[in-house]
Amino acid sequence: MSFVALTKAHFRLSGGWRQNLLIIGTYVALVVALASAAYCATNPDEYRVVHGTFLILVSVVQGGLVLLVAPSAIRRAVFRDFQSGMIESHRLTPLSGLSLVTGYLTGPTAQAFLLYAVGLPIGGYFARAYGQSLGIGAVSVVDWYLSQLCLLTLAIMELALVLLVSLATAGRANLMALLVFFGVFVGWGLVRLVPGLALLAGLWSAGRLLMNLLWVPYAGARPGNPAAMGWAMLLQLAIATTLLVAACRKVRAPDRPAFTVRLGLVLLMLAGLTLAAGLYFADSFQQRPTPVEPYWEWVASATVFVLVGLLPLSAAAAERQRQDRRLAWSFSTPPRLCRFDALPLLLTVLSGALMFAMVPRRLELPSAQLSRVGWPVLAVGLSFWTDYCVIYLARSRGRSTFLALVLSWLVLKALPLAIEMGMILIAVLTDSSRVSAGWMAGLSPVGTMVLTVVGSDSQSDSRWVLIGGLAVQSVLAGLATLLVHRARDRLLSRLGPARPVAIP
Amino acid sequence: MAVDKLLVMRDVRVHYGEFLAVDGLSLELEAGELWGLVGPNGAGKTTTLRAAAGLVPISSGTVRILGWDVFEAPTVVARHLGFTPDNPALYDGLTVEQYLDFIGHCYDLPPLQRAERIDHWLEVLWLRDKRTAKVSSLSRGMRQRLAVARTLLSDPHLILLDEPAAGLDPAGRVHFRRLLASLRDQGRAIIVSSHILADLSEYCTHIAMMERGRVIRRGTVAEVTGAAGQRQAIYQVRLARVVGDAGRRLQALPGLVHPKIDGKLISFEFDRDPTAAAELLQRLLAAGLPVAEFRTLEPDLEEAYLRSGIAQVD
Repeated sequence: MSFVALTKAHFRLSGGWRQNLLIIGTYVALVVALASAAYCATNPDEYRVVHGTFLILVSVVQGGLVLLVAPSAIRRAVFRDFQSGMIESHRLTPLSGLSLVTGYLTGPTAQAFLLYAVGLPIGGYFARAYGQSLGIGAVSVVDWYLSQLCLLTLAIMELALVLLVSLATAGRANLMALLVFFGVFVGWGLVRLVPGLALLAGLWSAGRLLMNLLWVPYAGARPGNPAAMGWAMLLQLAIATTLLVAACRKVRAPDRPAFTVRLGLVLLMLAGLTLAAGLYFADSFQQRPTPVEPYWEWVASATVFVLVGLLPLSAAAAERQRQDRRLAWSFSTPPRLCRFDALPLLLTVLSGALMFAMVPRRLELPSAQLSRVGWPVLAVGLSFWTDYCVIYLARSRGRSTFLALVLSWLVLKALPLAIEMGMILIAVLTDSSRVSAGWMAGLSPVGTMVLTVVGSDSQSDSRWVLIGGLAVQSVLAGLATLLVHRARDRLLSRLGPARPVAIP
Repeated sequence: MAVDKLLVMRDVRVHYGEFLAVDGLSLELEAGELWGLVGPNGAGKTTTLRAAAGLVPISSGTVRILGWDVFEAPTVVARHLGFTPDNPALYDGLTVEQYLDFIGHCYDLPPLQRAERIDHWLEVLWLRDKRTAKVSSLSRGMRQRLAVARTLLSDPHLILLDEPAAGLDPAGRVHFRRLLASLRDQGRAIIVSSHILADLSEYCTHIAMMERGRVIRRGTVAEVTGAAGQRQAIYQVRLARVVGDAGRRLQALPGLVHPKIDGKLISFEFDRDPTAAAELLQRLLAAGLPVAEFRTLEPDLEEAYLRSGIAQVD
């Protein structure tokens, strides 16, 4: 129970029992005062409205506490420990990675979770009262507690993610702000494009239950798909566990990638399962026809899978670079190929498997044309290899792997697509009859996916565009390989002959 | 597991990007040894200590504490290691006692033992009156002392101190020197990085001089200052009054080299052997010189450092 040390310290730093009990007392008093005032001002026949309103308010507070306040508290605590150097002090103690991570999860968030716990019976009371006034009795109470359970599993995953990102960025990256920004501006679009995200974001579990609970009089429907809720909670907890294992590693070894190759592959498998489950359950939640064409869901889900694949890829490239440096310093020649170099191939096989598996649900390709999916698989393979080289080069020069990857994706993957879209836009605006053939998009693996599902095999142009794009991507991958070999040779040549080392 | 070396660093290299901060450093410490690490800013002293504590990754080589690899078994090593960085980390929002209690808790010390040790170190480090004070209210010197208390609370075998005397007042420095000497005599192995060479020569058993990430000179204090292996020592004699023919009387004494007389102060080189020195003192008195003070002048660590030709790094 050594994590209690850190939990206790952070709880004390957040004011200790005295301040926290004061806050809890104030919260309860406020709710009681507001509810009493509302009851007094309302006709007893209309109490249903009061119950419903307070149920919404308490739900919002509950969600805010565990999805906004608690993650922010973790980030602040990690940031403070990095700024003050206490994180190094923790690393000098015998506390294991698990103890430190558990301490960060429970200490800074104690205040938020105490208020959340107090909110449970308050919400339960309003749910029961609301259910009774609607004549559905205890069902609404069960829904309330179920929705809170779903909210909790979602919160656990979010807390794990925020903790990992905070540890990896010394608390500087404000993931919460990013999530809120995406939630407000592009969240719904993303969720429509990648149904797996809706599953993870709790929209089909906590969100669905709360909606059903609050909108019962209007919707008159019971929760949709219990299987989707079960999968959502299971996947959230599995992903949270994987992220926490990575956080345990990162907190004690900040110089190493959070994910080992094996752990990255576990997360990738879970991501694949989530994306596939998202597509599987999408039909039972999304009304058809949706504004999103099914093949866009296929492209977006495959792209997300490739992005998650960068985690094990980074670990492999970093390990390869460390191994080369270690061998070079012991005056041995690093091998031309090693087991880490096989990872891009493994990731390509996994991506291909997912792409083919998703075809029947999202692409209405006739079986004769199924081989077309081979084009994006090839492009993804080249992309993985190029990124593997980019990460190796960044690490050998002491640069940020993350920045190198962002640059690689912006220049090699996003820019060709942006130029292509710009050309299409210009053609549309100018009513030009010359529509782009997709040459620019073909330079990007994401573009290759799009061209594969949008184009038709009968158009010979489309095939040449794909071949041309893949040729350019192959040249880029070859160039990256050449640079890696040069970096490896430079490492060896810089060392020179062995020097005697004085040992007392 | 029986190990005679508390710390073994072999051929350690540390890179920051492409910059080589520590270059092939090897160091071994036994119980009761107190090493002083000296060198200009940027020589790699702090990086060496941080590598020994497992806080910075090494590019090559090994670091073992009590036989355990610091990077493979960090939580095991942590029980035997105490490290005070140059800028100690503390929780400003806690009181001194709460902070030390938290540290003791991290080391799984039982509550009673925790309380005893906190009492002990607060007493030893002059912080007893500050027990309930917030860490944020402490002066720099007090924070430094609290950081040392944090380091010693777990009763470590190996202690690494980076500029521990910075921020201490003169009385604090004297007190701290005695504490280090006492820890050394208890059989702990200690490395101290410091720019205060006069202090180091007083309590260190060994000195390592670093430049550009490499140890360029090492050995016992006497070896580094050049005193070891020399048969002659410099003696200083203070007379009770000025003696007019002191020079003539000194010339009559055999074995004295380069005698210099400056009023009541006489210096010369003579055999380092203590028996010979005792006989010389008797002969000086017999020669009618009113000796008020008689002592050897050991070579200075500061002089040795300046003589070593270590370049200042900007």
